[in-house]
Amino acid sequence: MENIFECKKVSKNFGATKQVLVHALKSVDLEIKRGEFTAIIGPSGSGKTTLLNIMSGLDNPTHGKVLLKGNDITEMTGNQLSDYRRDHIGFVFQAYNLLPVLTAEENIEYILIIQGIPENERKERVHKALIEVGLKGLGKKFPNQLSGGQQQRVAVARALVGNPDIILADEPTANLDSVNGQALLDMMLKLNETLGVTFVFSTHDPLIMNEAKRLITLHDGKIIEDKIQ
Amino acid sequence: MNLILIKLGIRNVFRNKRRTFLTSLAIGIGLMSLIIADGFILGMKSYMIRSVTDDYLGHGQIHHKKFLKTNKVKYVIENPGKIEKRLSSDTKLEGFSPRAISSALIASAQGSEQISLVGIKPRYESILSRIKTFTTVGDYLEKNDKSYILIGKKLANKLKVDIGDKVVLTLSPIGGGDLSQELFRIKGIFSYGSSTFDNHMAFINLSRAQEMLGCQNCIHEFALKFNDLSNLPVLFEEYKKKFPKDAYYFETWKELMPALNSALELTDISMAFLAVFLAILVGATVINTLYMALYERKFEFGVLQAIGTRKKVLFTIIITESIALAIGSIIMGSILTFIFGGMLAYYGVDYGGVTYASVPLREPIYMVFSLKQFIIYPLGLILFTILISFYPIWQLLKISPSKSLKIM
Ligand SMILES: Nc1ncnc2c1ncn2[C@@H]1O[C@H](COP(=O)(O)OP(=O)(O)OP(=O)(O)O)[C@@H](O)[C@H]1O
Ligand SMILES: [Mg+2]
Repeated sequence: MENIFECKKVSKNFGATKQVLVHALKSVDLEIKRGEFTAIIGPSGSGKTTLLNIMSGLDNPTHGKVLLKGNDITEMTGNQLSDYRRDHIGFVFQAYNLLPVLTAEENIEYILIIQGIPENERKERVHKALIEVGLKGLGKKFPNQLSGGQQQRVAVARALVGNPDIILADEPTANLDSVNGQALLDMMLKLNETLGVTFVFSTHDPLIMNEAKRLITLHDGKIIEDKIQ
Repeated sequence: MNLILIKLGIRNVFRNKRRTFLTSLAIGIGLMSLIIADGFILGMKSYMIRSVTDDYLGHGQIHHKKFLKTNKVKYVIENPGKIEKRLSSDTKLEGFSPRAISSALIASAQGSEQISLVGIKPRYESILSRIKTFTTVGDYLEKNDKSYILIGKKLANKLKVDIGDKVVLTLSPIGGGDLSQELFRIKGIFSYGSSTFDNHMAFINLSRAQEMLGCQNCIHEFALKFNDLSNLPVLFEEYKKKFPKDAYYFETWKELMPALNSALELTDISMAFLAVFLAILVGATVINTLYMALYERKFEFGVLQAIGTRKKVLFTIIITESIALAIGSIIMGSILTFIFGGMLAYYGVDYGGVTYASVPLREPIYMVFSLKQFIIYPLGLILFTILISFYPIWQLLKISPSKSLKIM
């Protein structure tokens, strides 16, 4: 399989002075192939969020390179990074993913609007994405009219609809009970298997990490284990 | 820009309805104060100008250039007959009044006073000024009244005279020589409400004044009243060109009453101060509201940036929000203005004859609405709100999205 994503010797330090310098990531090397379903695990503070932020260009690494299909994103300007995220990355956060003043449909459609997709195609793709995540008929609801699990599904649909190369999810199930968390993960797994969507997500949940096809363990800013399961 | 972005901004405004309501109420009150103050000052100004020009001055006057400065009767207008003809045929004038003016001593059995004596043509004068209206005791002068005089109420009190009583006028003729002295009977007593007029003025027929001055056709002053008040500055220019010579020199009411003019300019300055003051108030309110509204949604903006929204688009979304807020405030302000301003325009405010810049405010001052107030001020408010919201937005956009997303 094709290598779509690479981190080369990526380090990230936080803090301006030597005394309070935090080494959140220490020379991390990582390759993600198309179609993978990868979980990043590790104790709190091990650098999971930092790694995902650097992969998405939300943060710049202190050292090292981040390549998407061979292009170094650390060289990009602000607008290029915005466009990079818009066109290549799907995002799912732990909670509060959605704009409360927009309906589920509008939240999903937003990505297509900033991508400049014409209206009729947008409507069609939003409709399809809602079916994909099992929310047919709930498009007109506002986020506060949906359950936490449903909201996360809308977030996955939004991440999906723009046809990204990879979907990054930072603890997507952390705010859900185990039943709903399991259901969300099953749905992501199904998308991975049927549509070939590449996922990288972080988690604390042992049940969920067991479903991952690849499991990367971070400790103290370093990858200490990387296994296919 | 897509509709959904506008929707986003507008729905965000209505997210916290109470805060939006209170903010637009505050801004709306600011707008209302501005419009009402402006309308009120407009009403006051036009009242004062009207009162000064219509009471006696006219919109402009022609003199010998040195007459007003020196107060010497020898500086008469050259060739007054010719000028009178030109003025008579001028359709831009509603009226004019030729006057001969001299200082004089007026004496009754009870005392004497120094006054300014004005010879007028009663009919001409009644079109130009309001002496006739203000003559509330006795009667106004007639064309053929040889030995009748009109004096002010306070002067009459000082001289202890009444209608029909005799007074003696004494003045020195233009050519020098013996003083002229004549006997007059009081025909009317006027009250202008202004102490200058009521203490120190008296009117007789023009021909009689000319006789006493020993100068048959002498005129010191033509007071002019124009038809088209909205066009005064243009007419002023025209008349300045028409009567440019020292011997017949045209001046506007502004030049004749510099004190009033600067008092009116002072009201413009206080209006500007008020505008600045309200702008600061509105500015602080907008900044405060936006700060609260934006910072509590920091995470949302982080999400928007994380999923690929360019800063420019984010900026547009937020600015739409502040424009929507400004428009809401304008609607609020306009409603308030119509209610409270309408009341002031209808009832007016009565100053009960207080004098401002030596103009007696006899009638209530009414607020004057103008289209300008409902265009310039609201537009200014929108522009100002947009401008002022740059600051909190800029502060917000400075935060990196990875920081905004850090809540958990
Ligand atoms: N903006 C920052 N400034 C300073 N230190 C930071 C910042 N962001 C993260 N860190 C530090 O970097 C390290 C890694 O943090 P990170 O958030 O990546 O951990 P994590 O694995 O996601 O933890 P969690 O499971 O609690 O979410 C931690 O020690 C954290 O305190
Ligand atoms: Mg984390």
